Amino acid sequence: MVELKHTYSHKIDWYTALAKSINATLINDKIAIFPENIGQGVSFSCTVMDGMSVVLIDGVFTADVLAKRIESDDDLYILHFDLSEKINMLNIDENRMDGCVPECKSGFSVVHSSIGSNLILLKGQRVFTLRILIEREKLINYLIEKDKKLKNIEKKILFYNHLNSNNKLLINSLKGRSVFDADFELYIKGISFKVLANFIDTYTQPTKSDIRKVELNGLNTAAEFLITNVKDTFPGLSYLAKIAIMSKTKFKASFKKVYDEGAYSFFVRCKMTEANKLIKTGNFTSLIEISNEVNYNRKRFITAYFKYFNRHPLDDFKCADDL
Amino acid sequence: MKKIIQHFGGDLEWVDSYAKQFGGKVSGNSIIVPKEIHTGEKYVLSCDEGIVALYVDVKYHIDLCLIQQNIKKDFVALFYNLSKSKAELTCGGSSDAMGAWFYNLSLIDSDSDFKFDIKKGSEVFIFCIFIKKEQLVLFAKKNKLYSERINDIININSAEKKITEWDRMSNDCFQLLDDLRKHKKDSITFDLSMKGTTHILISDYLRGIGKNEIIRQHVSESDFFSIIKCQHILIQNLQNRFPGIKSLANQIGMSQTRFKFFFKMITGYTPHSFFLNNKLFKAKELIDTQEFTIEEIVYKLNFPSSSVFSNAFKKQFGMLPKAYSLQL
Repeated sequence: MVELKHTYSHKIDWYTALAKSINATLINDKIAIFPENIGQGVSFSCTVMDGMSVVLIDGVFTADVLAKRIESDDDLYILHFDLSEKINMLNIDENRMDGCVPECKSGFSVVHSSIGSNLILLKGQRVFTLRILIEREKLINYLIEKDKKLKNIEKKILFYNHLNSNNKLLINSLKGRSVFDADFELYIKGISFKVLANFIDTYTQPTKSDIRKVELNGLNTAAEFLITNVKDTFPGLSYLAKIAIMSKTKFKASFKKVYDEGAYSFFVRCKMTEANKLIKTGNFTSLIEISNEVNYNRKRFITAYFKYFNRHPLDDFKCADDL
Repeated sequence: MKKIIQHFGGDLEWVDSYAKQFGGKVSGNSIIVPKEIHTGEKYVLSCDEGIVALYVDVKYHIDLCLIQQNIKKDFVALFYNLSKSKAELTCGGSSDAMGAWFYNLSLIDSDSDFKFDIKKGSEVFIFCIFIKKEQLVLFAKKNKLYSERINDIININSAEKKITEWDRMSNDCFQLLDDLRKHKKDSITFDLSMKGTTHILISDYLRGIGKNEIIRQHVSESDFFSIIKCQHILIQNLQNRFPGIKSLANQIGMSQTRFKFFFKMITGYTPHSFFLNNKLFKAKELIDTQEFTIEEIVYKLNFPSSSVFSNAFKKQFGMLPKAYSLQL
């Protein structure tokens, strides 16, 4: 296994030193062509803006390569994207097994430069990784400047490993470009900005509604159907699912998610509220009339009413009479 | 008709006087203009050393004549025009129609004056990038970009020739700007997205320069506009099946061979691949809304089957539509 030791900083020195240590050919201080004993491929690094730079590795290695990043004092967040055919293993420094780096199964993780890490690049497959290095202070200041509520946003950043689809597409688009093109630097800068924007978007607003509008409309129609037909018997889940235009299982689950209760208990609640309303009108003289009205037998009605309001329906009857 | 004389530059010095010309003010990065003149957004951002971008998405409520007379002559301006309404751009003696379905990309030297006539009720969406020539020189030197055209553009003592070019932007740029337009201007990441978009657009432009191609030189104007019309027809019919080369060629009155040849030359795509590409982007947009299932999108956009759609989507974006929608 070939071992590469390096640190990260915004000064390009680390890059030139690393290229030198593995005898890579360096062009323009940006492009490093790997020597043949390691594999075929290139690496690209450039500064995107003050406090932010990007490193790209694209190649097929002939031997397993261990890229050992040594911890450094630079206060950097490293956004690590891995879009290789098979995701390469990323471990934190053996000496610091404090679990600060999550497993990188999704192909994305955030690491801080104060904790070293090992990236094992597998041989015989196209390795394609992109790393965005950003100064912690700059990132946090940017966020706070835009929105003060994001003051405590940093807490979970090291545990965030959701690879957003749009970022995957953006980074994938780099695969079709050659680092030797004159416009590549501008392109990768543009992509880095957009990737960072996407990352911040998904990281700061992680909750997205998982129920679609069409489904929500369907559920509302079903609920309205129950409310209007409150005096009938329960139509059954299959029928309601049909109204909501979805499968029975999906209907059951989505209904619970939106209304915090099952369709049947929703229906019972409607019935009981209706019964309560009817009692209060004072137009009825006996409980049997009310229970018939909401389609219950007397005994079951009393049980259900008691369960719901925690008192006997007759108590409400009396109150209505007193009035 | 109200006349407004404006000037731009590769730095932010012009912004205040630009806002004043419209009777407005600058607030942060936004340029706020009285509602009687136009409603919408004008947003300006310095994207890099010597690169400034101006985002204009507005609806004008009066007739306007915008005259550009730059004070500084050290930059070039790229205008990406995706306005729905047509507007006349007069430069020197010639006048051309600009808009999403006309010429929609122009490169204008800071030394050339031009006039832009805007009618009341026009909806204008323009993305402008101003780049200092010295930055371009530096960039070309650093990246070893040698081309006759870049020399023409950069040529600082260009007494002989002022560069003004009219062209069509590539489909990628179209989609990129469309994507930017969907971002909310007050979201925390709009600045980053705008910087990203600007860099990718310049990269795309330089890529074209590297190839030394100006489409307009090889095609007659009527053919050029016929092909654009055809593109428009295709974009408007994304929910249908591909109409076929024969039908398209008939609609614009061209022979099939000629049509195929010019279409490829102007857009860089064959008619079908152009159609499919845009259809897939439309599908991606629909997935982004999280309102539809994949099956519904297949039906909505009239793909032959969901497997055909999935395969095409994977080929275009490198991942299956379902995987894409799950990871949003």
